[in-house]
Amino acid sequence: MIRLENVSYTYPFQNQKALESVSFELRPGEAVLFTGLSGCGKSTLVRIINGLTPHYYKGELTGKVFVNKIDNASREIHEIAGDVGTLFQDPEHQFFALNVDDELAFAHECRGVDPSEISATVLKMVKRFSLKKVIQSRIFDLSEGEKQKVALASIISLKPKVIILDEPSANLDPEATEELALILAELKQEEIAIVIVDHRLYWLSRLIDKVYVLKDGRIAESGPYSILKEDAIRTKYGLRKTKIASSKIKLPDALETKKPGFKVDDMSFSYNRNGQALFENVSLRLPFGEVIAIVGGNGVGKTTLAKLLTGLLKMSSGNIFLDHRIIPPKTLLKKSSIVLQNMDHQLYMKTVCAELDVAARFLFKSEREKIAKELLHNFSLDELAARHPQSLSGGQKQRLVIACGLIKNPDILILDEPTSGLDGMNMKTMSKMMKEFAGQGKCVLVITHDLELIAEACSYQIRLPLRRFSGSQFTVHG
Amino acid sequence: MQELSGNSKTTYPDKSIRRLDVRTKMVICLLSSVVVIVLKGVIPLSFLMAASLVYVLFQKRFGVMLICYGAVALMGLMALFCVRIMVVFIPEMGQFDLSMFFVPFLRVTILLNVILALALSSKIQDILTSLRSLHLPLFIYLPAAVMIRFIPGFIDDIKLINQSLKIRGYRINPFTLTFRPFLTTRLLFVPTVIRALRASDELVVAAELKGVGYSERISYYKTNRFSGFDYFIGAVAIVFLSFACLLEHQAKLFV
Repeated sequence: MIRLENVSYTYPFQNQKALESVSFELRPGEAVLFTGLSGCGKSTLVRIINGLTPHYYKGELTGKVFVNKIDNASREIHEIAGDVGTLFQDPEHQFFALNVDDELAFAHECRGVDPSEISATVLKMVKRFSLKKVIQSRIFDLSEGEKQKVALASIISLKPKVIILDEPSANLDPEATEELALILAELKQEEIAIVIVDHRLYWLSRLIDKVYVLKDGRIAESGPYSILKEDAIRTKYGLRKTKIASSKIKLPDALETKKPGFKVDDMSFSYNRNGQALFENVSLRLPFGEVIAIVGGNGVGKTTLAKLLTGLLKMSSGNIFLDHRIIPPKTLLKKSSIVLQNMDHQLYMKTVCAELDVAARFLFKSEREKIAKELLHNFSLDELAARHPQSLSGGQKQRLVIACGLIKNPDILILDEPTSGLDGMNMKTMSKMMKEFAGQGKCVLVITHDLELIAEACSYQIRLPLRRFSGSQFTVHG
Repeated sequence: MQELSGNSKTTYPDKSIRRLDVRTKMVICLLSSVVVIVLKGVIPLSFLMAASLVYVLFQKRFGVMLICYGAVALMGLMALFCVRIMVVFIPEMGQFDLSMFFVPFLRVTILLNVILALALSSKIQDILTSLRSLHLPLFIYLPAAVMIRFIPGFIDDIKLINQSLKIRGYRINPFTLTFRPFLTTRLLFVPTVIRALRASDELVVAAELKGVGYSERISYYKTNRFSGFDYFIGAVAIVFLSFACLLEHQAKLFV
């Protein structure tokens, strides 16, 4: 179904090859996994298979790429797309409509398919992917798992022969990941060839027929899934684990700790004045010196809680205390840092150095320079100091934004899904950073679905929906 | 704005203008803009102003209305001030007369009312469905639909940029704009432009991978139909606009 013959590729204005001498073959009903450190060439490979490279992303491509026995060089992207469906890491980026049924119909409408035929296709996909409950929902109201199912349904409705999934588990909770694995297993049985590019490996053991480990644009290792179980290979290529202890997180609840730290009492919050409360009279404890995981399904209010704890959103009622003193939202903003998921919103300056300099503008110049230098070194950004922040890779941007957050020495540091899309090595670096910062007597909160990160770094959890405080008893709310 | 973002869960009473098809509201806007250009008399414009005010008041979004009226009043006052200064320095311009501003003010408020009614009562999804119902050619429908589709995402980006600035301790207000104009402009525009560029790039890639835009014709899976309420409100609007034109005509006869 797919055949790559000695493919090499160099991006425009680059000397180093992004892919070098890559050859592989994929048959109908087979599933292959490409994994490796960030920047090893996985995304480039995806673009080469679906024709985006070199038709959209220019550069120098040598070798042959065949999809469904036809050379990609002889076809336009939309012709290749008839055979290959691509699922993005964030499916929201590939939605053209605002409602689920409109999204399922959109590509067919644009192909001029008869409306009655479109209705039949939409109904078929709704049934197949169990989307009945959300068929009239807005895409913004869907959980990440539901978004992925809608995107997949939209792709499958076009009857592709190959599906490419780019980091499909990066934003999913463990339950949604399991569901995705089951859907993909069904597609495999229908003779659809599947290409998966992912860092998280534990969910793929029963699905994958062959694994390719990429390093510096070359296939460094290949074989059955079992090769990933070897510690030596995982350590050598900075890969994640193939097994996690349990999909259920067994950490003590931060609510029950008596350690010193921030205390949140009787917190209530609702986005609309007359709308349903997201939090109602809930209480929390945020102990110092610990890394606390904020966990729970999509849409239960994890990011909202983080914004309330940093003073970005104002509670409808309730207070945050430190040493029995109420901390107003404005003070909270000064005492906290939050690193949101999308880094593009959080970078403004011309150079990495200037970004840190402006973030530390409230310090004396000598102190500012010293701390900035230290942070650049600690986050391995020294060599990138003169680069434009927006030209950095995703991982580098994330490190820079965290460094900017740390420069104000906050009492609370909150990280929103910091390891989605990170390889095993960088995940461990992130975990080390969080533990070190907490070790300085600070409170680190991490919103995450990443079970490996939780096992590696976290000592407490806050599980949402939160328990409601009523008198002397707690009840589940939500 | 909140409604346009597509993230709002605001509900409206059943009998509001929200029940109207977006096309009806668009036609009312279009007819009103044509008529206010033609009309010059204070009486017919005041009549239309009162009618359009009732139309927008049905939305019960008094806060938003107050802000918009405040902005229009501010613009009006600035115009008055500038003309006053110009009259002082260029006497050839003639006498400063407050009544000169009355007709333009009425025109602006009529348009403001009908556009507010459209914006406050229409969801992006309704606008998209209405666009389909117009059966426009592919080369018009597709870019328009895509632009409208990305409004909620863009509004979310603006909110996130604002929150990111707050957490870094930046304040964007007239004071910072005056005293640190370059930094403030950079803080606002760099992430906005980068996000817009990335969104458009992702969009092109998604469109290519879905094969969007290569077919010669487009089909419409779901379209809206006008209800009796649409015909009724449309007829009322035409009667009111015609009556205003009649008033103008009568006034001319008396002059």
